[in-house]
Amino acid sequence: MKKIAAVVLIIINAMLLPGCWDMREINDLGMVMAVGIDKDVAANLYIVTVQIAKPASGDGDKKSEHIWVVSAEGKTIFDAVRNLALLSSKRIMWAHNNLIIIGESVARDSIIPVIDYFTHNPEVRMETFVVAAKGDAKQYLSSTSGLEEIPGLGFRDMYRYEFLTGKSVQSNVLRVARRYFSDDRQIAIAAIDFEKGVIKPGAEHPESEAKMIKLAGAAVFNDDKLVGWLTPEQTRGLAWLRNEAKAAVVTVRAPGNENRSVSVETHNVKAKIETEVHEGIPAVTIILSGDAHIDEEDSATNLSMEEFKEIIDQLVEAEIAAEIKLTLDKVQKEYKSDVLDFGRTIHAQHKEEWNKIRDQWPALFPKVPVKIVVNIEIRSSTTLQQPMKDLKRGIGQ
Amino acid sequence: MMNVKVSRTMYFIMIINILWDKAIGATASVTARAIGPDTWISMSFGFGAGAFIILIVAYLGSKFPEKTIIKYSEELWGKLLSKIVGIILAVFFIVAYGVCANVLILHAKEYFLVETPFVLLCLIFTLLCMYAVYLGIEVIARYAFFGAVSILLMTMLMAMGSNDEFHLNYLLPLMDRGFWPDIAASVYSFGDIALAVLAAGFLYPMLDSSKKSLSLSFWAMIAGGVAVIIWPVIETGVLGGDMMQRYVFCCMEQARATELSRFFPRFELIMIVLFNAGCVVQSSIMFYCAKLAIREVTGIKKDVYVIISLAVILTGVTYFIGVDNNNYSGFLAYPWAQACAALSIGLPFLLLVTALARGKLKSKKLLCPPKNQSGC
Repeated sequence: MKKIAAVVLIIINAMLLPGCWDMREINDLGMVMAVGIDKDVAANLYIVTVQIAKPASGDGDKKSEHIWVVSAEGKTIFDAVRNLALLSSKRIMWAHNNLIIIGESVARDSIIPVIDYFTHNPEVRMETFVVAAKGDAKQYLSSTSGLEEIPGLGFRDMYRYEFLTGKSVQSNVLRVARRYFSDDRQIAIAAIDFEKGVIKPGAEHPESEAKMIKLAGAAVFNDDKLVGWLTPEQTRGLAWLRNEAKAAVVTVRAPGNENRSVSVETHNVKAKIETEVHEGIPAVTIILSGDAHIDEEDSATNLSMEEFKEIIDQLVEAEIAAEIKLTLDKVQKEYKSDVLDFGRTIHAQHKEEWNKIRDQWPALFPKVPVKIVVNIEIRSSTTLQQPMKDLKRGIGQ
Repeated sequence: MMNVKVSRTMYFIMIINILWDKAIGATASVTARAIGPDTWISMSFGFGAGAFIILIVAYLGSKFPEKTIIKYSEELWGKLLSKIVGIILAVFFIVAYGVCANVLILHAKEYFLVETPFVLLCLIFTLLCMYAVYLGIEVIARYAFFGAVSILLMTMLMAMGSNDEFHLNYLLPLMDRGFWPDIAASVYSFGDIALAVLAAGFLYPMLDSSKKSLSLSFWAMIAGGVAVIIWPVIETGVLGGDMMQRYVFCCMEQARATELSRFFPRFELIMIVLFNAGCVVQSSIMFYCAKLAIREVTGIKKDVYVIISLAVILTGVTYFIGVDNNNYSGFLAYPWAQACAALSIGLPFLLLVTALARGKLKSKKLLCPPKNQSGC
């Protein structure tokens, strides 16, 4: 009896356990490297464009294309994605997607479908980068990225090193969704645009041929709709406040020479936002502190290193404060969108008061007085013991 | 008389396994829907209370050595009432099995095996647990070691991979919704606490009597609670309370947001591999306790008849509880959590009061470990 039961169990398991229901062979999959979402608002149709990696032999055939770009339309994003099957010989797979590009048409209409589809879809990683395109997303997917054969990978790596400038914002599916679902924060997404005139070696008219994608500031949203763009300079003000400018270069005029500049690289910059609420009126103080290193001096000076550092220190602090002010003027006064996390901070620091002003926050936010305090300490003049001195003309003596 | 014996460590590890798997995702999501970012605080209250409730069960177990909760309820309340208790516990463990089994089955169905028929997943998982129950509690207890190691590994890896996206600020303000709402929402944690408390009514008598200790159950509950609470803390810091509440299993969304490095960008499969051991242990213990309850109520001697019949019932129950994930999550929020709270608090408390009133606690000495061992 036991032997019969064992044989029956083995047969049943052999039939049920191989897991063929969900078998997907790798050569049947079309791996999406990047996706763009646009909308034909008049027809109320979503246009999904995917950049799919083409399997190729490793024989170094440079002439063959490494990607296949294809578009399909649908009443929803999912419908459009499924319609891609009408054109694709392989099943679309999202697990390796690197970038989601939101077209301006979708951004101005509503990004809820984008957030919902990509947080819903278990194949998509929450760390997938999200950018907002100036114009249609479709056009960016067929452009090149320079160093990489597959542009999607190039975009991803470009984005990965964005922190070196601080002139964009870190937006991925998780961060965008987290902000959307929250009632005390608004969304800012990295913006992309085309860079003209990139030199392409060997081309007869290099400037006219090469067209590359560049990070171009940020897109600011109010709830689910795009309300405006920030320039890279304005975006850096936002990055200071959100602790995303990790190794930014700040350039100030050289002491005693208006036409020359000094560049410093900042490190460990932390923004602390302190809030207070008096009789329902909130006020914000931004305290930014960190250190920096002088990395380039374009002119000679007769100052000692200590004097030089002190002057540069003050100029850098003033420059960073000005950048933050520039951003505040734009997002607080013009776009009226709390991408600065003031609401979140008031909520965390004064929950009782926040519960009273929560409903009026959209109206209160543009009027909130903001005080900016910047404390940057210049720690070194990288590798140099003295500032540049023009000994030939005796300036430094 | 219980013939099977388990060691103190086995018992300790089993309690942690029973508490963990469902709590980190399903319970955290249900609690987040009620209380948002205070989920971890509310669950801490729940597990703190649970530690004292399991202490009552352990105390009663010490006073009625070698007897299960059904057996000593017979001694306290008589045969008829003990039969009713047995039936209630059998039904509880059958439904508890369905709830626990669906944690792994729904993870597999929604994230990996989307085209595999749901009923097949229910059947295969139940067959696996049936085999575990057939082999006995000692085998399940030994397998629980793999579960405990997996829990430790998974929690460490998840914490490491979430470092970049973790914001302490998202945990603030503490008690955002207030103290009493947090206490009220702790009822959802009883969906997990009740599993351990009532399973302890069957597992505690299996402890080698020379090694019994009240504090063992208490500290097992505290350790299990800490292992659980780490997850909602990190989930709130990464996903935020508002996002946690959207999902049936926020732990899996946490896994989607976890990136161990550029070279290991996906954590989901690692999570499921490490998750399954604990889930099998948890479900198998529910199956095992259901079997014991049915045997004690019906008096059936042959284990195999009970196990096979139960396997059929449990496959069906698992299917109906989990076939619609929204109904599953809704069921956890109401009435499952409330029923669990009522049963896990009410039954031990009533038994204790009866035992006190009838002087049953005076006559028997609490069994303490030898002098060279800690406990009592």
